[in-house]
Amino acid sequence: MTTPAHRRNIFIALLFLAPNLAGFLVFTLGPIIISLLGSFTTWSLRPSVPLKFIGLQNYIDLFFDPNFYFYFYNTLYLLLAMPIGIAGSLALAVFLSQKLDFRGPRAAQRLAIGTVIFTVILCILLALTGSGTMALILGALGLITAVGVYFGSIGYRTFYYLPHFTAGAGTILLWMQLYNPNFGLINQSLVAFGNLVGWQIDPPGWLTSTKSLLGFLPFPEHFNNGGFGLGAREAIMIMGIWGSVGGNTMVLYLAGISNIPPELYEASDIDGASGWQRFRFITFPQLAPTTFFIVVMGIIGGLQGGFEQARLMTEGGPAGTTTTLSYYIYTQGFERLDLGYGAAVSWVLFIIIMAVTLFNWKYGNTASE
Amino acid sequence: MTTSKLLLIVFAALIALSGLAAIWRPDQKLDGKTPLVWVSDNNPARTAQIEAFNELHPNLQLSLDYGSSGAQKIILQSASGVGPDIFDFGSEDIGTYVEAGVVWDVTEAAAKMGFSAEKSGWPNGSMTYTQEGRQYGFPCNTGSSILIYNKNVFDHFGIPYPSGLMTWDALVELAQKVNSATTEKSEGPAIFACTGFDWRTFFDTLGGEFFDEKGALRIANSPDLMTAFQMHHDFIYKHRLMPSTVEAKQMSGQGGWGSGNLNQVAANRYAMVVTGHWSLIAFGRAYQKQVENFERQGIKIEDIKNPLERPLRLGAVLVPHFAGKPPINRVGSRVAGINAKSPRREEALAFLQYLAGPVYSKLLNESADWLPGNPEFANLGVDPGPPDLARLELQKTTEIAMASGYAPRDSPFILSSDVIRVLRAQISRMESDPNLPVDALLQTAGDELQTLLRRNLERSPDLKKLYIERFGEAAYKAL
Amino acid sequence: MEIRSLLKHAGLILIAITMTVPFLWMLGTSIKPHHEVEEMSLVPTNPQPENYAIVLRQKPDPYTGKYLDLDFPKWYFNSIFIASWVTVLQVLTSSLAAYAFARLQWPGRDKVFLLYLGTMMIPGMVTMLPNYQIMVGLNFVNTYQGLIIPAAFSAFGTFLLRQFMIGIPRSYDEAAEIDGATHLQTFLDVILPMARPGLIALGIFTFLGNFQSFFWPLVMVKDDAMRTIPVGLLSFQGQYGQQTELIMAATVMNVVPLIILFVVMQKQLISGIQLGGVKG
Repeated sequence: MTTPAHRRNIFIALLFLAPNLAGFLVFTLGPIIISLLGSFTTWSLRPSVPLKFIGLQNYIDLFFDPNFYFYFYNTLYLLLAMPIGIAGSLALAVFLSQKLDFRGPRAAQRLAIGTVIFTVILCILLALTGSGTMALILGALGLITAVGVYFGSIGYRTFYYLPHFTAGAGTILLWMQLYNPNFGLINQSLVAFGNLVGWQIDPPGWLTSTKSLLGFLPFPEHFNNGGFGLGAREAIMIMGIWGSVGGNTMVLYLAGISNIPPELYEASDIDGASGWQRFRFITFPQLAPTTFFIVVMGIIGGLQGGFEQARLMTEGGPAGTTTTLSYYIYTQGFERLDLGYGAAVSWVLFIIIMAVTLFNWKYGNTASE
Repeated sequence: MTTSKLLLIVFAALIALSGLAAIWRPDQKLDGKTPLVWVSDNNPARTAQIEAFNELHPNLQLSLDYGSSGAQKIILQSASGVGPDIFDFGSEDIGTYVEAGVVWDVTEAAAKMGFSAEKSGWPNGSMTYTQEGRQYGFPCNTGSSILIYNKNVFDHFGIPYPSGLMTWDALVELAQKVNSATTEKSEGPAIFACTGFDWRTFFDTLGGEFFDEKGALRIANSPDLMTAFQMHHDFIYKHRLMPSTVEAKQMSGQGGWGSGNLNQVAANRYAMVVTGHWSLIAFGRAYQKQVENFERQGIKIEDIKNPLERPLRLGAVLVPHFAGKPPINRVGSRVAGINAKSPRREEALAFLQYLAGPVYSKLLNESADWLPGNPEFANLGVDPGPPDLARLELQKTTEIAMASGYAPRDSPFILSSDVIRVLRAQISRMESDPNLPVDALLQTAGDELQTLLRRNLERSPDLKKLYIERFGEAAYKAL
Repeated sequence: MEIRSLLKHAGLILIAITMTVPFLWMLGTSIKPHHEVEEMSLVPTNPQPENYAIVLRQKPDPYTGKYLDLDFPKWYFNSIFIASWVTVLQVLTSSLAAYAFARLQWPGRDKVFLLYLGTMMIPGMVTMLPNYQIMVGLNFVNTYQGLIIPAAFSAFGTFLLRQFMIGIPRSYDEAAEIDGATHLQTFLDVILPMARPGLIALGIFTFLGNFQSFFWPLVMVKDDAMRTIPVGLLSFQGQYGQQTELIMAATVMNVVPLIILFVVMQKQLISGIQLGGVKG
C-alpha cells in the first residue's frame, strides 16, 4: 500500500541512504555483478588473453579440476573445529553464569587481596632464587585468581575474550612460533611432559606435516597422504578454537542464559533434577535459537575462511593440505591472473554457502521451535 | 545539538590526523632529478650499488623498493600503471612477465648502449634473459650452482675431499662414507652428507627440458624427470644422504643463528651443499662470528685439535655428472627488467647499461654475490678474503661450470613457472608419502599441466592457432 | 557450597591460564637475547629489552650492525589513522542508512534491505578483484583514500544498527515530529543517542577489523611507508623471520594496544554484542 506520505518519504529515505547506497553500489553490488559476468568470460590480467564470452567453460573446468575437490575437502575439514568450539563456548558460558561468589563481597575482597599479597611474596622469592619462569607463571596465576575471585564471571570473561579480540596477523605469527616442531612451546612442553612421566613422545610436526586425524579414512590418496596424526590442518583448527572459544559465541550464550526465565529452574529444583538434567532439559533447549544463529553464522564464515592462515603460516602447504577455497580463489586470481576462473570458484562457493544456509533455515529453525 | 558538536569534534580530529599523515611521508629530495624505482631484494650491498649509480648519473635518482617483489604484485601493479620502473626476476619467470606484457623489449637499445646479450653476456647465459631472440633485461648477477664442501667435516671423519669431475655414483659412494662415519661416531648431533641436492639438481645435470623443441609438454613419461624424481627419493629415503624438507626445517630450528641450510653447513651439520657461490655472503658472516668468538675467548685457531670446532673451511668442485654424459650445469640469473608501462623507461635503460659496466661489476664482486652479467668483468675487484673460505676456488669453479652451461627452453603455450610449481607440489607429496611411485606422481603432474595448457589455448586464439599450426588439429582436439 | 565454589574457580582459572600462556610466551620471548629463544623458559636469564628499541629503529640490529629497514612507527600510525577514518565514516553512513530502513516507511524498503543482507553471504574474495580494478581506475592504489573509502560502507553495519533502531519506541519520533523537528534533527538528537550501545559496538568492531585487516592493504599498498601493521608484520616475517625475538617484540606492540582497548571498552562491547545478537 503506497500513500502519498510514503512517496514523500522515499525522497527523504533516499537522502539518508545516499552515502551508504552509493558506496554499496560501487564497492559491493557493482563488483559482485562484474565478477558474476566475469566468471563466464576469459577475464584475465594477461594481455595475450582477449576478453571473450566462453559460457560455462570456467565452471566446466572447475567441475573436472581435482584440486577444487581437494581444497573443498580441506575447507570442510577445517570447519570441523566449529562444533568443538561451540561446545566449548557453551560449557564456558554455563560455568560462568553459575553462582561464583563466596559468602559475600567482603569475603571475595579479602581473598583477592590475600592472593595478591601471597603471590607477590612468592614471586619475589622465586625471582630471587633465579626461577623466572616459575615466578611468571605463578604471577599470572595469582593475577587471574585475584581478578576471578574479585570480579567473578566478568573477570574470567576478560581473559577468555582476549584471544578473540586480538586475533589477527600478530596472533597468527605467535602461533607459528608456538608450533615450531623443535623449539616451539607446544612440542617442548609435550617432550618435557613425556620425560616427566617416562614416555618417549614423538611430537607432531604440526605446520610441516600433512597428517590428519581423518588420515586413516580411505579418501583419495592426495587428501590425506600423510596418514593418521596431527598435522597442519589440526594446528590451524587448534589455533582457531583457542581464538574463538571465549569469543562472541560465549558472549552470546551468556546473554542467552541470562534470558532464561528463572521459574523454569525453580520448577526443576522442586522436582529434584540433577545439574546435567537441568542443562539437558532446560538450558540447552532454551538456547536453541542462539545456537541456531551461531551455527548459521559459523558455517557462513567458516566456508569463506582459511585465507590469512594459509597466506601467513603455510602458503597453503604442505602438499596443499591447508589450501582452502578462499586461498585457491586468491592464487587463481592474483597469482595465475586468471580472474575469470577465480570468480567462478567464488560463485560456486557462494552457491554452496547459500544452499547450506537455506537448508539450515528450513530444517534447523523448525527443529529448534 | 550535542550530537552535531560531537561529530564536528570527531571530524576536526580526523582532519588533524590527515594533516599529520600528509606531512609524515619519507622525504624525497629530487632537486629536478628523474626518480627511478628499483624493486629488488634488500641485500646489504644494494646501498653502495645505488649510490654508485646515482653518482654516475647526476640527473637520475635511483631508489630501492624491496617490499614489492613477487610476480603477482609486480604484474598487478605494472598492468595497472602503478608499477616500479625497474624490477628483478628469476630467470625462470621471464615467460610470466613477457606474457603479461609488463617487461620491456630492450633488444635495440641494448645493441646501441652496449649491454646486448651477444656482446656483453655470458656465452651460455643469454637464454636467461632473452626469449625468441628478443632481450628483456640484463642480469644483476648470474652463474651456475657448484658443489661446495665443508673441509672440517671431511677431516673430522678422515675422508678424502671430493675432487675432480665426479659422477653421481662416485658422489653417492663418498656421501655414504660420511653417512657410515657419522653413525659410528655417534657423539654430537647427526651430520648429513648433503643439502641443496634435489630433483632439480639431478634434472639440471641431465640437461633436462620440460618441453620439446616445438613447445609441447614432456612431463608424464619424461625419462629425465623420472630419474630426477627417483634420485630425489633415494637420496632421502633409500640412502639417507639428506634430510627431507620437514626434517631440514626442524634442523634449522636448532643451533644459534640457525637459518636455512647454509648456516647449517657453517655449523658443520652438513658435509656438502649444492648452491651458487653467492652463499659466500652467508658463509662469510658465519665465519666472522666464529673467528670473533675464539678471539674473545683468547683461543688461537691453530691450536684447535677437533676439526669440527674449527671455523668453517670450504672447497668446491663441479656438481657431479651422470656416467656417460658430459658435465652440464644450468645457468641462472637474477634479471633486472624495465617496466614496459613506465613513463621513465628510456631513462631506466641507463641502469641496465650500468649493470653491464665495470663499476657495478666491481661492487658485485666485492660482495661475492655470484658473477656479474658481463664476463669481461668477471674477476674485477674479486677479494680473495680469508683463505679458509677459498673464495677464488669457488669463483673459478663457477666460471668452469658456466662453460658447460645451459638454460632449459620455454614454451609459448604454458609457463615454465607453472610447470615448476606443479612439479614441486608433487615432490611435496612424495615427501609426505615416500611410498608413492614416481611415475604416478609424474602422471598426476602431467595431467594437471595438460589441463592448464588446454585452458591457456582455449583462452587465447593466437596460441590456439600456433598450436594447431605446430601439432595439427587432431592434437589440439586430443587435449 | 564453599568447596564446590572453589572447585569451579579452580577450573575457570585453569582455562584462563591456557588462554594466557601464549601471550606470556610472546612477552617473554620478546625480551630474550637471540641465543635464548630456543630454550623452554618463559623468562630469559639475560633479559634484552633492547629488542623493542631495535624494532623501533632506535638501536641497530646487533647481528648485522645495521638499523632495521622497516618503518614500524609509521605502520602503527597508518593502522590507527586508517581504522579511525573508516570507523567514523562507517558508523555515520551505516547509521544514516539504518535510520532509513528502521524509522521511515517507503515502498520497496524491505526489498532493498534484503538485497543488503544477501550480499553479506557472498565471499569477500568475489568483490576483491573488481574492486582492485576500480581502485586502479580511480587512481587510488597505494593511497590512504584507497584503503579508507571502500571500507567506509558496510552492509553488516547497516544491518546491526537497524536492529538497534527498530527497537526504539515510535513515540520518540512522534514527539519530535510534534515539536517540529526535521528528520535530520530527529536522527541526530533522538535516534542516535538512543542507539548508543549499537554505535559503540559497531565502532569497536569496525576499528578492530580495520586495524587488523590484512588482505585489502596487502594488495593495495606498494610503499613501505604506506603499510599497515598486519602487512608490515608479514614483511617483517619475510625479512627477519629467523629472529623470533624481534618478531615477538613487534607482535607485542601490535597486540598490547588491543588488550588495553578491550579492557577499557569491554562493558560497552559485550553489551553491544549481546543486544545486537550478532557476530562480529
